[in-house]
Amino acid sequence: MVAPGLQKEIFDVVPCFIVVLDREFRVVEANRYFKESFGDPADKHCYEIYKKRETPCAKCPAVETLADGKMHYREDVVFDEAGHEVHVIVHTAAVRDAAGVITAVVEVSDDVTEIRTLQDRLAALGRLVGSTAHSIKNVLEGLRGGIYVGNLGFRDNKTEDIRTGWEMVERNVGRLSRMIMDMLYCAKERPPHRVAVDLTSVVTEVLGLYTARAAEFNIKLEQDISQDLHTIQIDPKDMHSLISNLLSNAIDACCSDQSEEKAYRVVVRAFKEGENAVIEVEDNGVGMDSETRSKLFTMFFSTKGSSGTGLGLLVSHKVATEHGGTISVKSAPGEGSTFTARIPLETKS
Amino acid sequence: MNQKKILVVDDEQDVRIYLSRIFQENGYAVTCATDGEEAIKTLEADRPNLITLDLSMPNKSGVKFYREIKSRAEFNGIPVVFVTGVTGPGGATDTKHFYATRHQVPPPDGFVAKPVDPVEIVGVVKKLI
Repeated sequence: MVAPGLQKEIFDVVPCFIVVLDREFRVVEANRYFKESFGDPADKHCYEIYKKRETPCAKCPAVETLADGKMHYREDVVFDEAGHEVHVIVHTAAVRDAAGVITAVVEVSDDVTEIRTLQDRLAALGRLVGSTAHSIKNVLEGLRGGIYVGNLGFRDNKTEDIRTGWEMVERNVGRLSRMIMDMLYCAKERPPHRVAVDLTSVVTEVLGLYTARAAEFNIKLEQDISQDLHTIQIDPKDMHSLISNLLSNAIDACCSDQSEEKAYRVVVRAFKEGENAVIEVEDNGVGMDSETRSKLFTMFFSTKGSSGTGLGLLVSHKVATEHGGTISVKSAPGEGSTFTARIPLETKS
Repeated sequence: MNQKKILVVDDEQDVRIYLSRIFQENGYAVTCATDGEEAIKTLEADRPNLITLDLSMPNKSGVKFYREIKSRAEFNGIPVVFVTGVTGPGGATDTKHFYATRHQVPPPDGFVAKPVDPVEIVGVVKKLI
């Protein structure tokens, strides 16, 4: 026979959330582990505590146990006192009086948040492998094509074909190296290597790299860089990637548009706003609907068919967040998009 | 004389160059389109003997384009060869099945997986036209 004091101690120290619910789903008993995460239940209903709801949940194992007296279980997502998601596997069992009437339900919930997070990461890794293989296949196609055309040139002694073939090889080697850099960047969790950098010089450098490409597609590339932006502590390589991806996407958005009347333009702005340095890239290209906007910063989402890896905006987003900043977008189909990155001027220690 | 025409539909410039050169080398005339919308316009202007089609493209995807031409009597007799990097574990047959079931479209007349082998794609085309 276990002593009553020991029973209470066991109830408190078991590493599960244990509550006893009355027939109205009020928490009448809760163990210490539960109180540490969800606070003092103070006679509240379980659905108020777990789900911040005012009425019982639609699917609830406690309801089922009250109805049939059997054990039930369910996996669910609840919210702790601080509002964080907690993934739980809930088991319920009936508590009966001497006459066998169900008077309460005991609910034991295992916290499986860490396991689910790991599963999500593994699933993301699987998608990364699949997407990488697909992207490499596309690059390989370009390389194979370049070699084929180049070989025709050698066979027929045609410089033009050799040049075309060689350009195809160059283009695809460039794509492959950018892809690998993006993948390495996405795969690693690391703090930015901050040094004092003049942000305007990074913006100007990136603009310089894209001037020829914009001109090739008859897109006017404009810049509006404020003079009050001075030296800030950033990782210049990361910031270069962030701006490059936004600018490259803006040019692609103009190229993808089908309008014959539009004069395409991309504007890059950099200015100070409160505590932040703001980098804004605006285009009047194809634009996006709300569904596309909602998927923008997720892994491997691309609107560019075979030529997109879906990594570019993810890299931009990662750079902004790792610098303590944010990135947001305004867009409408047919009107264009504006991406805004806000990077804190002062580094928070 | 009487040169057969192939329409190459692919959003990637290098793939268009590659396929065009393979077909030209083998005596075909080639026109290109960068997406489904442009391909429809090209078809209406100049009917080809065969179409090679990438499935993953911006604007009108390859599947949407394929569904449209299969639903239009004037075009549904033109043989279509899918040229795509999207392949299933069972290779070409598996992918044909996938597109037939998942997108509810009839199977294509031919299928070539990327990266394209010139001998393979010319072999598939020669069987069809």
